[in-house]
This record gives sequence, structure tokens and C-alpha cells, in this order.
Amino acid sequence: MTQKLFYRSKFLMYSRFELFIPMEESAELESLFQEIVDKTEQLEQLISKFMPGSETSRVNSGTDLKPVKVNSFFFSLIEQCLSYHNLTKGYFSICTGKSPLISGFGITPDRKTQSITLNNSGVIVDFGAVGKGMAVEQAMELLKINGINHALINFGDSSVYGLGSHPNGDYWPVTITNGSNTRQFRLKNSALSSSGLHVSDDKLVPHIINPETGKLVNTNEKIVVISHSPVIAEILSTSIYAAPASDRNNIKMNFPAEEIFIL
Amino acid sequence: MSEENIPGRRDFLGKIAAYSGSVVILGGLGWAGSRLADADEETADHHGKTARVGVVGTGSRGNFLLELMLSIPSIEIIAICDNYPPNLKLGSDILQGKATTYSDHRKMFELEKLDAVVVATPLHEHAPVVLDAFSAGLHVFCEKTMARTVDECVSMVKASQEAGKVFQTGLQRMFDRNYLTFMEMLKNNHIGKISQIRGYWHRNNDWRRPVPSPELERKINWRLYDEYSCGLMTELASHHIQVANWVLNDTPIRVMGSGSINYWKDGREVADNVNLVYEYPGGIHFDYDSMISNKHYGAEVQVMGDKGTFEMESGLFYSENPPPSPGILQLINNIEHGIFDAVNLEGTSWAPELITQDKPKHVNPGLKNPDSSREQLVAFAGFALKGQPVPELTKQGFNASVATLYGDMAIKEKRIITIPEEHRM
Repeated sequence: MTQKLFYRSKFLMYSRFELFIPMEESAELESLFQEIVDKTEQLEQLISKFMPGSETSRVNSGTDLKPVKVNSFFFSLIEQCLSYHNLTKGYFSICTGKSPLISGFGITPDRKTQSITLNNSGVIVDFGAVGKGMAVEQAMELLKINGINHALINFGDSSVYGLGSHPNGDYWPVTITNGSNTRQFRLKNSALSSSGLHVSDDKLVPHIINPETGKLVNTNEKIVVISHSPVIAEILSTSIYAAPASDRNNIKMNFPAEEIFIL
Repeated sequence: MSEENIPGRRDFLGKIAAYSGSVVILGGLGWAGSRLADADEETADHHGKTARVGVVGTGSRGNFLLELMLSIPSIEIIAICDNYPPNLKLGSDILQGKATTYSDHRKMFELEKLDAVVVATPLHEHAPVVLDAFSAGLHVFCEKTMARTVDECVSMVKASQEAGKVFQTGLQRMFDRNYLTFMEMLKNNHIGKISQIRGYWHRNNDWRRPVPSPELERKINWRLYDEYSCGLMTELASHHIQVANWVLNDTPIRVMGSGSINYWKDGREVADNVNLVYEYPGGIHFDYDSMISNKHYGAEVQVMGDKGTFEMESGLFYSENPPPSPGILQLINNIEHGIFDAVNLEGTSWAPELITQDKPKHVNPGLKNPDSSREQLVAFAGFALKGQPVPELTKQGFNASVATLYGDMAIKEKRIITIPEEHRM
């Protein structure tokens, strides 16, 4: 019997992207995977701050604080990020940088000219907090358009999407662990994003910045968010992690459909 | 890729553990797939018997093999032979005078009760000694390359077949644990479809041995003269050509090459640098080069498939795509077994530092310098005691040697050579 296991992996956005579909290998699935890879690479070429030709790099090079005209898709991404920045009380940010501290969103988009201006020369645009979520959302849409009903997408173990269900069950069961805490989540047409310290050379190191203080957040908590949208899950897990307890409820109120877990 | 994630590896190591001591698992070779446990010193039951071995050629390589054989319980060195007295004395000293010494191998074959002979003479003497050995009814281990000419190789293989004896060529990578692991991984499709192999062997020295008096130059430095040797081809390249044959489970159909003396212009006749392309069926190429005026890149065989790369001398495996994460691997295993259970995903958010570029993994961590020169002799003793020829070994030796010699011919004749079908075993 042919196993109904289609699995592919690829290094994308400096992480491991994995797609699992409980179907037999076929040329159609192969070309679908290739399309997902191509689209993810296109996204990376647009938003990566590491790629010299990306729109992000062009904006970041505008340290003379003059407006940088960007393409319309990139501009719409920036506008969406701005609205999430507001919905998360400023804790979701696509801007980092050294002092002087970034105040507000850090950049100013101008819809009329489709241009972005850095608010000061120390600002760096960085889609790190949302890039993988965008890629997973894009991949999920491609799967659906192509009539795939069941699949699991895992991007770097932190941005996960369960389409439909496990072949032997009613959902995709996954667990997330933080130290001695383990919690199971049921994914069915839903995304999971986790935020916390990340492991580097077997050490836990902080990597999320609190945009209010400009400092790395170093708590042992792990935040898990379940959402219908991989982008929202990723935005919310990062901002809840970055925000102090006192601000978390205010953020949560703006995302009534999302489930938030603290491990 | 973590070692645990190389599927099949655990099984394979399990097998190795069962045959600890020496690796004699020739499975995954594309040849035989047989486990030659009889040749293993730890597991083989030789009923207390030892192979009675004579050694012809006690120069630097022969004495190196002598030292190794002293540590192998299934080998008893009865006699040694060399027609150059200082070398014979070196061999005798290693054995503390416990073996009879000869200057003529025919006399040794006639007077001693031997099971087997180990031949480590200069290349041009391989054929006469080996042919005499088969006439004397001995099993033969002969250093690479099999012989100086293709015709000699043909007659040696024929003689081994007529005598019904073991004929093993000293291409020790066939017994190297890393190479054997790679062959197993190849069988399990770890690197996918192979489209090219690259090999190189670089050293930085003149390749000369000190000569006590000028008339001995050609005898001592036989490797530098065309009459006795094909230089870098027969002394080094044959190893990697055997590996390419082994990996592709085939032999080359054509070879083109070029070589010259561009550095060591000291009266030698053999090239000090060679560059070749071997063409295999299916349009697959093995590119090889060797030089002795720069050692920066050392020696390597790079096997390139659409799923991954082997660096066989270093024992490294590179995957073209990342291996499954532990959680997803578990999920796939569960589904294969009809299990519905949660799998753990152990990550955190994306961060620039999380660059997980494709790093190579050693296929046998902790095993940096496998002693395959010794293992091939342990195996040979086992084969000799069993008394049955091992045709696959003979074939590997023949095919590698013939391809080596045709490569040398391509260089010297400056033409593309099609290897005759009758010389592809």
C-alpha cells in the first residue's frame, strides 16, 4: 500500500519550513509545494532586511529621513502593520533600532505618495515579528485554492497551521512545552504561534524587544496564541509576550476571537 | 541534521555493533549485499586456525602492513621476501627475526606451507608475483593498483578464477566504516539521484625517497618512473576511482584527461599533476584531480545527488533540504502506524539569530580515523581461512585498476579513450 504521506521541507527565511499533506505523492502536490516555496521567497525578497534589494532595505537606507517610495503591496503591508500596532497598544512593532528610542510606530507612511519615511535615523524596519506568519498565511491560502482539505504547515516550530484534520482524528493535536509545562492544542483550520525565549547553542536567549522600553524582554513565560489567522496569531503572541501583565488585558480585548495561553 | 534523524542509521550501527572489531558488512555495495561475517575477527569462528601468510615486498607499505598484521590474531606471518636486502632487514626486525626471509618469492612459495600471500612490491612486480602465487595455490592480497598494465590485470583475474582463490586488491575504503555508512545511506536514498562526483588528492612534497647511492634511484623511487608506475594515477587515484565505481554501481565507459610535470622538474617521468573526467553510463561524470605542490585541499570525494551531498573522506553528509523537525518526524511515524497522538513542537518566534543554515553532520560521530588498512587485512584473513573466492572484491579491484590505467593512457596519449566492454567487469 502506498503511504499517504507527502512531506517536503525547505530552508526559507532562515528557518525550516515544513509542509505535510496526508495524500499520496504526486506531480500536482510537488508543483504546489514549489509554488508555495516560490511565493515565500518572493515575500522574503520584499520584506527581508537582510536582502539588499528588498523594499525593507530601501526604506532602511533612507537615513536622510527623506520619503522612500515603495511598491503598493509593500505599502499595504505597512498600513496593516500600523493598524495592528494600534490594536496591540504599540507592543507589536515592525521597527527596531538603537537609541534614541523609537517613539510610536517608528516610520510614517504616506498613502498619497506611497512612500515611507523613517522617523529618525536610528530606526530599522524589521518584519521579524510577523514575516513567518505572513508566509504561513500565504501557504494556507494556496493550499485551499488548490483544493487541499487537510495539511499541517510548520514554520520553524513556532508558526504552525493545521488545515482540516489528522488522518486518524478530528483535529491536528500538537503540544507546546515550556520547561516542565506542557499543554496540548487542537488545531482545526487554525493557526498556532508561540513566543518566548529561543534556544541558541543550548541556551535560552531573549530576542523580543519591548517597544515601549527598547529593551529585550527576558521572562521565562511562553505565550501561545490560537487564531484563524497565522498573521494575527504571530502578532498577538509577540505583543502579549512583550507587554507587561498590566497591559495584556487591554490588548486582548481587541482580539475577542483569539485564544491566548501563558505557559 | 541530528544523527538520530538519519533514517536507517541506528539499524546500521546496530549491525556494526554486532560485528565490532572490524567492518565486514559489504551490504549496500550494489554488489552481493552479503554480510561477510566470516571475515570478522570478533565473530568469525575460525576454529582456532590462523591464516599462514607470507609477505612479498617489505618496503614502506609492506612494513606498514606487517605491523598491522602483527596485531591480528587470525594471521600468522610465516615468511617474508624482498629482493632489496635493506628492506628485507627492516621487515625482519619488525618480526624480531621470527619469520624466514627470502630474496626470491618463488622459493618462498615452494619451501613454505602458506595459505596466503600479501604482495606489497613496486607496481610493475605485482603481476609476476601474483601469477606465481596463484600457481602455488595461494590466496592473494595485493596492494593497489592491481598491475601496471590492463593485460596484466586481465591475466591475474583469470589466474585467480582458475585457481579458485581469493584475490583482494588493497583498496581499503571498501572496509572503511564511514564509507560503509555512506553506502547504506545511499541505498536508503539519502542523497537522491546522483549526477556528479568530484574527487581530489593533493599533497605538497616531492614524493621522493632517499637513495643511498645513485644506481638505486630507479629501484627506490620506482613511483617516479613510467616503466614501474603511473605515478599519481596508480598510487592515489585508484582509491577514489574505486569509490566512484562503488557509489555508481558501475564502471566508466570513457575517460579524458590531461597531466604534466609543472613543478617537480627533477628528471621524473610521471606527471606531478593530473586532471581527468570519467564518464559513466547515463551521462554521469566523475571529475578527478591530483597534485603534489599544494596540500591545502587535501583529499576528498564529493558525491552530489539532488537530495544531498557526501564528503566521504571527511565523513560528512549535507542535506539539500532540512530534515524533518523532531515533532513532524514523530507525526509521520505516528500516521504510518495509525496512531493519533499529539506531537511536541518546541520552538519560539523567528529571530534573525535563528539562522539554521544547512550544516553538515558527521555520519559516524566519534569515528574520525577509521583504521580500514587493518580492517581489510582482518577481512582478507577471514576470506582466506574460509577458502572461498570473493568475486565482488576481485571485480572491484579489477574495475578500479583498469579505469585507473585507461585514465593514465588518456593523459599520455592526449585522447578520449573508450574503455572496451570486455574490460568492464
